[in-house]
Amino acid sequence: MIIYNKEWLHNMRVVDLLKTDLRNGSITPEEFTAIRSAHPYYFYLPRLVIRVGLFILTLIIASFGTGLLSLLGLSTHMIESPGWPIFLGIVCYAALEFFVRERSYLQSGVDNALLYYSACLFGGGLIWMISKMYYSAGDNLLCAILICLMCVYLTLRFADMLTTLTACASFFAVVYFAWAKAGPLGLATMPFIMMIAAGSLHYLLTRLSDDPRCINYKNCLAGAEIISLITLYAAGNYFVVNRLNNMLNNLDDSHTTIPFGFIFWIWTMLVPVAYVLIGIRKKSAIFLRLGMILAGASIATFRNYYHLLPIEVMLTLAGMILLAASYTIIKYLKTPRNGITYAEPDELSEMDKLNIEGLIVGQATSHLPTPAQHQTNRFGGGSGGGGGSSGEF
Amino acid sequence: MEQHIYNKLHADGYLSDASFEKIKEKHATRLFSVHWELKILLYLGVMLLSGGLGTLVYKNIDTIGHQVILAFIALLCIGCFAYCIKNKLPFSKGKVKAPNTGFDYVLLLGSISMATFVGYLQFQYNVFGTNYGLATFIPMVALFFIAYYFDHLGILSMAIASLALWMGVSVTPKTLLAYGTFNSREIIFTYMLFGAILLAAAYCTGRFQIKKHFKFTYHHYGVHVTFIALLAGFFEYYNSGNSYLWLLAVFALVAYIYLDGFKEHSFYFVLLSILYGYFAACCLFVKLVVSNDAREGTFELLLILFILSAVALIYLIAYVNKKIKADDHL
Repeated sequence: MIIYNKEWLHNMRVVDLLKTDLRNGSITPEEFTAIRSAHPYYFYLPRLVIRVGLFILTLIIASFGTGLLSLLGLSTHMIESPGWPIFLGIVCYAALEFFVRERSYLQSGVDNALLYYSACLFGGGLIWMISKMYYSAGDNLLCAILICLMCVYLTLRFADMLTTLTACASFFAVVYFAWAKAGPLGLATMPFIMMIAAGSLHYLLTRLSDDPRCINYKNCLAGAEIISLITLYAAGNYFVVNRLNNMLNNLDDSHTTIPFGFIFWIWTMLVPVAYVLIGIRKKSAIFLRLGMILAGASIATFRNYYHLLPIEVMLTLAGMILLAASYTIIKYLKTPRNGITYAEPDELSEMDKLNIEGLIVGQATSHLPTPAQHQTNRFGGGSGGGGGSSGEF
Repeated sequence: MEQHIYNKLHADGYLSDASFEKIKEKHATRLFSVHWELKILLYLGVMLLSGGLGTLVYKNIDTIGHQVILAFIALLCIGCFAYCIKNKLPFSKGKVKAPNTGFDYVLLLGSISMATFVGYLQFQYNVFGTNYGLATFIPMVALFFIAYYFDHLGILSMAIASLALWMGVSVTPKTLLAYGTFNSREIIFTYMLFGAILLAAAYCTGRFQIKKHFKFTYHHYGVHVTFIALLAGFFEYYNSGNSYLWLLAVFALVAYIYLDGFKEHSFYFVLLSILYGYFAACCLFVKLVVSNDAREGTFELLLILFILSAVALIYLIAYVNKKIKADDHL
């Protein structure tokens, strides 16, 4: 199913795996070169910056090219039918297949651009067609099913991350719209159905990632896992449920109670904690990081409904607690415990090479206002407070 | 799966017994690192705390008083710099490593509080009067000095930003594009001068071997500012004959950046020069084709030109990629 040469993919995996061992000195350079020459792969793999350039230029060419074709076909009224974008999408897809097969592109920018562009054209054409068929806002369920199928196919064929994420999101949309057909009862039980759907998808994904046949889709499975875990949380988040409830029952946002609200409060508070605990237990970075982010979301949710403290007191307290906690944990993990360490990981990421830090500091501080242009406000913007509070709240 | 690969390699004789054992041991004792998670928590804590304290002070300014705050900021600043001077490694023209992980952040805090102090003085007590130039000039010089003296890239970026501030503009590509302040010719010329200074600084940094690793930062800001200023100039003078001169300048700069990037094995700058050059070429096509009276097929011709030049550039990028692949720079 996958378009890439499987043997090459396997060889690349072997070489990448051995690269880390070479870096931390487990194997000798001679062994590495021997393994490398025994495991050849000939993908076109330009570096990140080049990929970005190729992506931009291919997108320009594709959009101008389709624009030119549409312009030429303007007089024939062909472009007024949804068949036209579908046709263009197929043309782009053919070009994509050609390039990947003949030139052995692997995430080289050109193929990414063509993939996304053809998917957008094709999907847009399908949605257009469906909405034309129904003469109304269109049928959401049908749209979601078609998009989901298309993205699943593209993911299986190209193992691309973005199509995976779209496939996942549209899968949940399918579940939502399908269950909504069940009427009031369906809407009332929606959060639980979404939880079940997300939970079972996650279970399925973990099963799949253990399967040796899915070895080429490791990244995709991880991406899908993240989406399913986020959905699992969001399905029971009080704020999300409350807003959705108001929307579906045509209530305004002053209604803050929902039936069986305490269940959702428990869910909102416990899921992030559970994620963090699972992350530490299973040593899974996905769970740990998601848990941390979602804990922030839960606190924001809570604050949205209950204002216990004025904001500045809360900020100060939270900052102090965080500082104390992280400092204690760092001290505690100075010597590794239970297989967990504070030491930096071995793998160098691409980001490290890019002087990112300097640029970010530059971005953040360049908005310091010129002193004294607005003298009337007492504190128009001292940089000290601005540095801390600008992005966060 | 990984174990499977190692076993096979070992069985096929690619891995010696010693290496195989070593790998086994490494994997058995592999640790799960929570380095980045904890670091982010630490940052978040600092940000929340400073934000909260800032708001607290702001709301209670009447009971605290300005002098107290000023004194506090000054103390903070002095404390930071005292720590840095005490712990710093000796100055050299090359790259100097920070003595410990906290050093860079203490320095950053000191610099920010210094800038805050000057700004605060001006706001509250109007120390520099209407002499705004001086109010921004002093922090700028100080920041440049700190950046070179302690060897800190982040502060260099701050210093460049305050140079721009002093020259009456705000730098960083994001602001340049977002605020779209290209309406006056004065601003365009200021930007151009600013960009030229940065490019010259980048050139000198490389030429005289003073803190060579600063070159990337200078070059990065210089390239964006100059290109955007030149293109803005082109649009400003679009209807006069001078506009070709602006495009000529763009192409000259493209050639310079391209060759320099090639020499330095920097894909980033080669790519930038190619993309800005492409944009300028498209502008040129539009100007050349559209300035005649509008005929049938003008638009199609333009699109064909755009597509063909983009295809040509893709080949160029592929060529560049092949040519400097051997090197490990970005």
